[in-house]
Amino acid sequence: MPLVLKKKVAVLCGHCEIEEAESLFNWLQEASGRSLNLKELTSAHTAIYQVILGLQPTISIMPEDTSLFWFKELLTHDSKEVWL
Amino acid sequence: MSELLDVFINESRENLESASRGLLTIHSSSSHNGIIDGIFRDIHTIKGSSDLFDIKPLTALAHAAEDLLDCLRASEVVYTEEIGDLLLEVLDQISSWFDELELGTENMNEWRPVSVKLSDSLRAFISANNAKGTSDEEAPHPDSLTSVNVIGNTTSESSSAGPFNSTIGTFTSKFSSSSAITLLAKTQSENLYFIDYQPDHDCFFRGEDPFNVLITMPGLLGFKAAVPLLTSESDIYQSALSFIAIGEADISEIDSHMAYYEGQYHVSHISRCELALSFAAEIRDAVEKLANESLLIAIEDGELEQIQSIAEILQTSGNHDPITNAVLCYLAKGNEYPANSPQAHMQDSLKLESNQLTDNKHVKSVSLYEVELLQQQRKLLDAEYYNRELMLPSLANLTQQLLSRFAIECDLTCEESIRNAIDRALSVASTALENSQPENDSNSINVDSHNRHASSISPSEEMAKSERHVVKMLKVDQEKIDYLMDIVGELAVAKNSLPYLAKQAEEEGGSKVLSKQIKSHFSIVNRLTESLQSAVLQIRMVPVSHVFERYPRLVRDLARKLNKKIELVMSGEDTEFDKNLIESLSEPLIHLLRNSIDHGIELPDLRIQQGKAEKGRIDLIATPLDDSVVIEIRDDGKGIDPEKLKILAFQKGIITEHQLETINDEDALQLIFAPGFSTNEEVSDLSGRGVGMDAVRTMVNQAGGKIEMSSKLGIGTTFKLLLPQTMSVNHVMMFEVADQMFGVSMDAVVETVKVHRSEVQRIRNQNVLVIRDKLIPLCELRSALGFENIENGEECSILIVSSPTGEHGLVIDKFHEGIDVIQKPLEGVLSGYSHFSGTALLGDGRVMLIVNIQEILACH
Repeated sequence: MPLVLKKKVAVLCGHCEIEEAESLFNWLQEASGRSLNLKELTSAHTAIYQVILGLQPTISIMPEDTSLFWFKELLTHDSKEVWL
Repeated sequence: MSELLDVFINESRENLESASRGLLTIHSSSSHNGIIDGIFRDIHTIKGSSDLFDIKPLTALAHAAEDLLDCLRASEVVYTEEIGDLLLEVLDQISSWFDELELGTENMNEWRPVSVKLSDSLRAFISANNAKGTSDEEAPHPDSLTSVNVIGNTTSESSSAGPFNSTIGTFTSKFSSSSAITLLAKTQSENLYFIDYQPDHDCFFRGEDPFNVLITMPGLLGFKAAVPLLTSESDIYQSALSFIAIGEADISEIDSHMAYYEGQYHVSHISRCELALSFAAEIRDAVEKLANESLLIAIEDGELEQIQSIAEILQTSGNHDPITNAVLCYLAKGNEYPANSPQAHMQDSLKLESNQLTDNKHVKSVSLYEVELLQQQRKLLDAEYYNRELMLPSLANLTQQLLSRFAIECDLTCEESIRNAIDRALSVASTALENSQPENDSNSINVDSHNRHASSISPSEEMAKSERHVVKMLKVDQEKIDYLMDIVGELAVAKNSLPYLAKQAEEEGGSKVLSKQIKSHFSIVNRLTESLQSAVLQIRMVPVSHVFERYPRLVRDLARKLNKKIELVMSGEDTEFDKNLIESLSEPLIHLLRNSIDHGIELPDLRIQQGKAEKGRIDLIATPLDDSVVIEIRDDGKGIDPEKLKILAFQKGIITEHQLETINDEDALQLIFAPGFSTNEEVSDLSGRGVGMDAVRTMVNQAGGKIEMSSKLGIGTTFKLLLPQTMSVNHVMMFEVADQMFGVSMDAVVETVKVHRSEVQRIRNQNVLVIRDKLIPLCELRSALGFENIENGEECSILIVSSPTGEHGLVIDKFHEGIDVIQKPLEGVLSGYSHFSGTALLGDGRVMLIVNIQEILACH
């Protein structure tokens, strides 16, 4: 399962398809203080990125995958500017 | 650009048509509620889209018409016949301008007075009816012109790659202040692009994935994303993102990467050299602000290595603001400190120069830098790796700018030195151009002979025009294309040998790795072959009008001969079709048309008696349907009487007495395709020798198509031809019978099943199989093809195929995969065997026979 919704943390791993976007969005909306564990995320559809960047939840663990370097940059920098 | 113009003209023509229809409706009927609205919208659309092009007189005229229509809509002006006439005149004028635009003969100087005159007459109506509104109404007119001017300017600016061009401006305004220096530190490439990518809101529904499109962009160096915050009401399936990005790659590469997202992005070229020039001052400012002594000394001494190491140390020590950081990074990468380069001097002196134009001494010094700068540019032009064409516009722009600045205060020596420098640089540039693109020359010669009359056009415009001309005029001998097609076909077959090779490598060589490698190469070759094939097929595609355009004349002549009045209405002439196929179609279509004219359409008197229009109508319609094309020939003649057909068929011995009684009307109509059948009692010289329809069906079948016919007595007859768009490569399914390979056209295959022998039942001396409550007669291919019939194994493989007589099962030995083959007709001794429809060469060199299902089932 690429998306596992726990009590306080949602764990995203592997590749997340657009289908997960809605459940992730609703889950994040349901209660405040929920956070994301992106440790094992390798790639995702734009809709997923849009939800994460648009709702700005707390990220408990940043993605480890080096190919998501740019996404980490987007999450940490308010300028939303990334240099590869 | 020309494509955009084509689209604009085509769409606007539709708008013009609907507007003039609307005006004519108002003319004929008194009420015009709602119609004016429609006309207003049409004109508004034309005006809006025309803004995209440099056709101001047209835009202005459309604007004036729009204003008047707006007043009519608001009932401020009362509609009169004169207004209607004037509006029609305006529409005609716009339409004739479109003609000129299409031909490329537009002349704005001629357009302008016409536009002004017509606009004035339009506005006269507004002011006459609304005296106090005159000044208000006049106001938007010049306004709109200036706004168009602005648009024109910005587009021309962005398309030129001038030294201080607006792309750099956009780039620096959208990215953060340190970004340009970061970029300079990142890359040494001169070939940079800047892209503004705005995915459509509904792009997710088209399967697009903008972030991944962005991240995989060739040579991406950096990007900036605009991500709006979401609320609980946001639609997460709508993309609200937009990106700007910068990277190093050719614009063409980006265009091909973004091919599927056309209209959602705008990409332009940025020159690193120009960027460096623009930011030299910032770099120096940052260094000065840093006030590090050792760094300044190193810079003064011009010791690059020293600068590099100091910058590296400074970078790691202490917190700097982003710009300083970027500059240190830039220096640490071994980039030259800008003050040492003549370009930076140039930049610097230009700044000073603008402040103190009167300082003659300074101007002189500038001129020296200018020479240096031009020499630098020349060096770049000499360098082989450098993209010369990209350099030229910037060079031209730069020199122009400098000349215009110095023109005021220059002394003679200064001006002369500039001239010399330019001459030197440009002579190098032109030789470079000649070397790199010899075809440009031949182009311009062509142009001269083509457009001798249009001497006022500048050479660059002529060049662009000739390109357009050449592209449209490209004519190639069809034989060459056919030859190319043959080779591509052979290639398609040859590539099929790779899987065999892979299999062999695995089985005999025992190397799985090698086999895997061959397979992966096969997939590449396969993809390339397929795209090559479709490209060649595209070349062979011609619009069906090539054949259709002969028919109006034919119909007119035949109708005259027979004293009939017939109108031929053709539609879908632009449907595309394989050239060879279309040629083979010409004859059957003539047959069908002749039949309709001769047998279908009645004499005018008879038509009037029957309450039909005096003029008969034949519709010739071509419509694309998936991979095939449907051609319909529909007449509103007397139709075909199935009863008459039945009796005639019986008399000619085509059907038996039993069939005569049982056959239904639908089937009776199909008797017309039977060999030796003609319904007209007297044989005319047009048709009616009884070979027509049979021959037509054979020809259509040969082309791989189908023909259907329907008819209603007294109402008319319709022939429907369903034809494949191309017939060069066939997709066949391979199977094995008695250790021999056979093929069957994939279109005919319904499904493949493997069943236990016990499931095969015998009904009335015939093997049958029941699949999903459906009875399917079986045919043992072994016996049908004359092999020894051995029942081997418990299971039997059955290939279910569809034929005109329903679904049948062919019992075979083994299934194989489907492949693309070029089917060759049977020749020589084999040509008499109708069991087979052709042969094909397999990748391993074996010959495969392709079975003719219909024939085999009939013999069975």
